[in-house]
Amino acid sequence: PQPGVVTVHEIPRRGPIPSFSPFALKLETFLRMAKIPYQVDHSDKVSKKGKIPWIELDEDVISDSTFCIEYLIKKFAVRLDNHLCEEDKAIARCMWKMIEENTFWATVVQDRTINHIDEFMKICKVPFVTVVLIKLISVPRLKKLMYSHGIGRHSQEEIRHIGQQDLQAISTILGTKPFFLGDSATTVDAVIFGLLANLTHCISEEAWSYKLLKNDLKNLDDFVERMKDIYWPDWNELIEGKPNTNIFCSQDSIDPDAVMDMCNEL
Amino acid sequence: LSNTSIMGSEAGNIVVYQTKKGTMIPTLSPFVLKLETYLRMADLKYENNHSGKASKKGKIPWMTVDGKEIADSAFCIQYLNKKYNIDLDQHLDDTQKATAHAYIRMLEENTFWGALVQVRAMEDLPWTLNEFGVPKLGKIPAKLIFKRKATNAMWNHGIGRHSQEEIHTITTNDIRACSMFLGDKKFFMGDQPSAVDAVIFGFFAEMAYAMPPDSWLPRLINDEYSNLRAYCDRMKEKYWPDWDSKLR
Repeated sequence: PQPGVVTVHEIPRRGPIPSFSPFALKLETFLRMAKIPYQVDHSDKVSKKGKIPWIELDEDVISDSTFCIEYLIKKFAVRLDNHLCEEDKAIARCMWKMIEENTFWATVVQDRTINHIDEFMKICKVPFVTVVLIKLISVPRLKKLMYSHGIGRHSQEEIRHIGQQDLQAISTILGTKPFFLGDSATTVDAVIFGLLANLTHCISEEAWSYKLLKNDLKNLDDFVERMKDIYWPDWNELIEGKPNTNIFCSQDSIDPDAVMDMCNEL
Repeated sequence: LSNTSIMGSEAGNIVVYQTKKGTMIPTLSPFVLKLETYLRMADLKYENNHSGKASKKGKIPWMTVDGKEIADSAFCIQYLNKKYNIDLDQHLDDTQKATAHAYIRMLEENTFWGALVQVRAMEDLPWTLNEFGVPKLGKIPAKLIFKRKATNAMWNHGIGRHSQEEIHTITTNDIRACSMFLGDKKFFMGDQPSAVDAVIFGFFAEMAYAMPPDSWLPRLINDEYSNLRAYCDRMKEKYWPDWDSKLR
């Protein structure tokens, strides 16, 4: 790893999305929003807490994507959220926790990975032997985690209902705003984008989450495309296998008026 | 052994299945407290069954309404709303309802682990076993079994992989968010009570009234974010005037 540069350890890029892990996508999106240069290590090592992604910066090693973001905010004096009032910070926190501790299980785990595993494996071009292993080992393990969490004790229809309630709630909170807390993007936008982008770009089209976002909760689908256009203009290059080039750090700071024009056009 | 609610109109036979009463609080479960508070807010008569028998989904509380079993406190409330035509959120707009929903999810899916499980199971299990009325001889095996169950559950959830200090920070930030949102409002969403108040009270009453005395957690509610304590006192007075008679 280069000294003075953040190294993000995450799973290799696969499929039609820079990362099919909502947590890695959130973390990279945040780094781009905060204009912090970073390099990526795809060698698949997990952290001491058994989780991935994790980051390294010189001697500092931080595990858990949320702790990584909190560390980066302090270390680089990131001001994305400074203008928010206490009530906005509070609602941001609730949405953050709801998305990662509840919606994630109903949508990414149950709907995408368990219910529609074949299509998910196909989209990510996972080799046959690995698919077999995933079905034999990972899927039962995920079901066990969901049971432990509590949500796995419900029927399929009940789990769908739980996930739908969450997505409906954030759709209502977003309304017609370009970003969740107003006219400028804040950290929680990266969190929600990390999850939603995976549900519109890297999932079977038969999945209820995909259909809900594409047909009913259109403002969430539009939000994903907005964030993708602004913060991931190199999306296609990355999917093709090109390395991360820190485009946000080598150019001058983004003109906020240009961003608003882009939002209005979308 | 059952207790009848002192309020409420006749509305079919509602029985709430739960564990033993606490000494400082009618129930040690925030989900039971939420469900009972909700029944009181909706003016529905109900009975308690303290046998500790779990639902078909392996959890507590669950209820029967005229003999029909419903598991999971959220599904219980949805069932009651439908069956008895209840809507405690009539005065709220869609954004307020969505906001309330997000707070409920955070408390039930995150704060539950970082506050209640962390303090009662990981930090002071002996106090907890006492409160649950576990007999003296059962205490040593109970400690081993519950400690292992809680550790595994916390690890599986994810939050248990963090250090104690990190968990405290996560929980404090959750509590702070609730305190900031509540501000000096009478109820969580404003001047009138709404469904979310059952959840907020269910959680913060447990944290304020029923925790090991020297713990960092009740200190947060009673001192640093004391508007939450004042809120609990108000809710308790309004919906639980018979609080003392419901203790062990």
